[in-house]
Amino acid sequence: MTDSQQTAAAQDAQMVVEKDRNRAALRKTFYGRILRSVIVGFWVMVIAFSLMRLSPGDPVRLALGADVTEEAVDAFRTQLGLDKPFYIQFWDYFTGIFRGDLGYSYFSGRDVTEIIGTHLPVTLMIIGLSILFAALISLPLALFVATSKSNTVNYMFRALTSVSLAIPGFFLALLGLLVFGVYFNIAPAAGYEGAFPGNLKYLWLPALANCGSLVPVLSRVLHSSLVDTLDEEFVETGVIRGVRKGRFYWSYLLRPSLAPTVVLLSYMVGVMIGGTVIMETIFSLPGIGRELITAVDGRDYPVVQSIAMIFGLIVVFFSFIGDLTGYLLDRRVTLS
Amino acid sequence: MSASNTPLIQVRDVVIGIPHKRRPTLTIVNKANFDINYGEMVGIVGESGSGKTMICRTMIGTLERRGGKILSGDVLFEGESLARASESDWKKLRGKSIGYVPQSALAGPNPVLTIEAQLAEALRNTGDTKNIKSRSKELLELVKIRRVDTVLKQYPYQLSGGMRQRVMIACALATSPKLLIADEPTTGLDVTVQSQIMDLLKEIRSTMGTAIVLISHDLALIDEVCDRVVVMHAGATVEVGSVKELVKPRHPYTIALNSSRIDIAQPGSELVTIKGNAPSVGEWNPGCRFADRCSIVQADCRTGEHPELIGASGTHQTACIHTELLERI
Repeated sequence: MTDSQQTAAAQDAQMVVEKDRNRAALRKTFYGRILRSVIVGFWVMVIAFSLMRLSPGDPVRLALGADVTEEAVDAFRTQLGLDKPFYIQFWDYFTGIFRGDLGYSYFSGRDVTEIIGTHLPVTLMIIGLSILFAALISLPLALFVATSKSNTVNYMFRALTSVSLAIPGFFLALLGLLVFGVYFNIAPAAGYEGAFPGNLKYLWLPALANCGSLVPVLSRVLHSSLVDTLDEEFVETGVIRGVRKGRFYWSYLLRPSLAPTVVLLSYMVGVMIGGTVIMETIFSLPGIGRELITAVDGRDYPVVQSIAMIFGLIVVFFSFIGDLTGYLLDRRVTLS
Repeated sequence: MSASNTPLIQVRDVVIGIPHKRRPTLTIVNKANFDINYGEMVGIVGESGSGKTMICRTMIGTLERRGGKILSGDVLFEGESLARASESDWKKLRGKSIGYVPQSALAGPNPVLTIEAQLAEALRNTGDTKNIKSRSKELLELVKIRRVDTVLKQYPYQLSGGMRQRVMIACALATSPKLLIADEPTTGLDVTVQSQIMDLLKEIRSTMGTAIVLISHDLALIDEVCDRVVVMHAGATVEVGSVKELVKPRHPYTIALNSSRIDIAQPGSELVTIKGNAPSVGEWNPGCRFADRCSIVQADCRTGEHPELIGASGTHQTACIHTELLERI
């Protein structure tokens, strides 16, 4: 009896330790990710800052055009601070960030924080909508294929996802425009209107086109996790226990399988940003990606380096959200 | 015949196969025959691939999920056919009258649900949704788990293997089933935990009167806890009898199993093993499937069908047609 009491006490202690360890891991991850996002943001900004200045093209001449005097060029250069040495320019910009000053566009003279403030929400909404659509398509699709015993269904799934993955996003976007914009006339081909629910009319097609590359990857990963889960003994326990259908699909199949897919999806936000830049151009949407392209064309240094920094922060933020969601879905997932 | 005379489970000439679209159906169990009485603890013993898990699946209705099918014969639960049971019949039986403790303690519980949620699921199966929490606690106390309140809030990965298996037993007992099927319930658990789990099963049998089917390849374990033993080899029941009767086995396979037991091996002597491997599914020779491994094999052992059990149900039955030669072994 004393023996088992000792074991019990030891197990008690172990449980407490484990609980503390979990909470500590969670806290550590949270602070770690904040630190990491700061570091990533900084380096992305440094790289964008340097690359822009290393690449050919003079923002001053591009901004002023051809018919200007050398005096005017020099004056404007001094005004922008581009006559100062590289490291002083960097220091000015870097310290500006902490004052909430990201500089002004060389062309429009607009405050960069204001540019980001107006255009970033559009991009974020496209990304959010893409994630939503991708989830709405991938989840039932993977579940259906994984639980189907038919070989044809499995074969079709593999073939179609491969084809879909091979189609470039811009082609899918153009195809979508042709089908939904021209043929069925249910999507506007271009243009944009600001406020939230109304703007969805302009955003759903680009988001759907983004899914062309998202869905195959996600549904394949989820499908293979589901197939593994279906073989697990606890699924049989669920069947025997007579768990209701909806609960069975969620708690016994999807939830134990979702973590890798969710983590992957969050890491793919980086890829999605690239895709969204293309979508904004094709659909003439006033997103941050289009601003970035214009800014790169005009060597608009402050705009480019600020947007690059924001992209870095977004990627790190989403990967944290993904890891956290994975952990909340399945506690076996360890947070790094 | 009154209900008390009818066995709880009657397995009658069961043949199980795995149908395939293009290839011929693969027979994995060919003639299993045995009874389980109310409140009895029966061990099913056999090597891997002998069909013991398949038989157990016919009793919990997960055979079709795994692609298997009862080709002929029947399993009767309180006189009602399980072979022809529809999915809605199963919903009434499975988890209610028949409880199941899975093979692997580590993979048995759902990893994403707390113990409380899993017990609640099992308890809701009874149809009575009142006092779930207090009933959960009672169940955990029944399987001798300490610190019940802590355990309820935990996830399976936070529990040891033995604790997880206790939780699984608790879930299976939620509906006070008449029959509890435990498929190698101590796989992957260390020896001390193994004996604790066995003690627990014995106690449940004696206090709740639950009939228990214990599937194992460990004859020593079954000897220790069961009333009766069903020996399976290559998809057929080859010997059925009480533990006492099986002290003097009447089938060469059981004799071989007995002499290969580690617990009774003489120190210093070589460990006896059974000659050859169990014949693979689909490679069964005509006649007795043990013939190739048998030391007293005769010419007539290799012809015709696999021999059926000789003797009335409830007595010491064997499928060996040359029991007179057994003394030579």
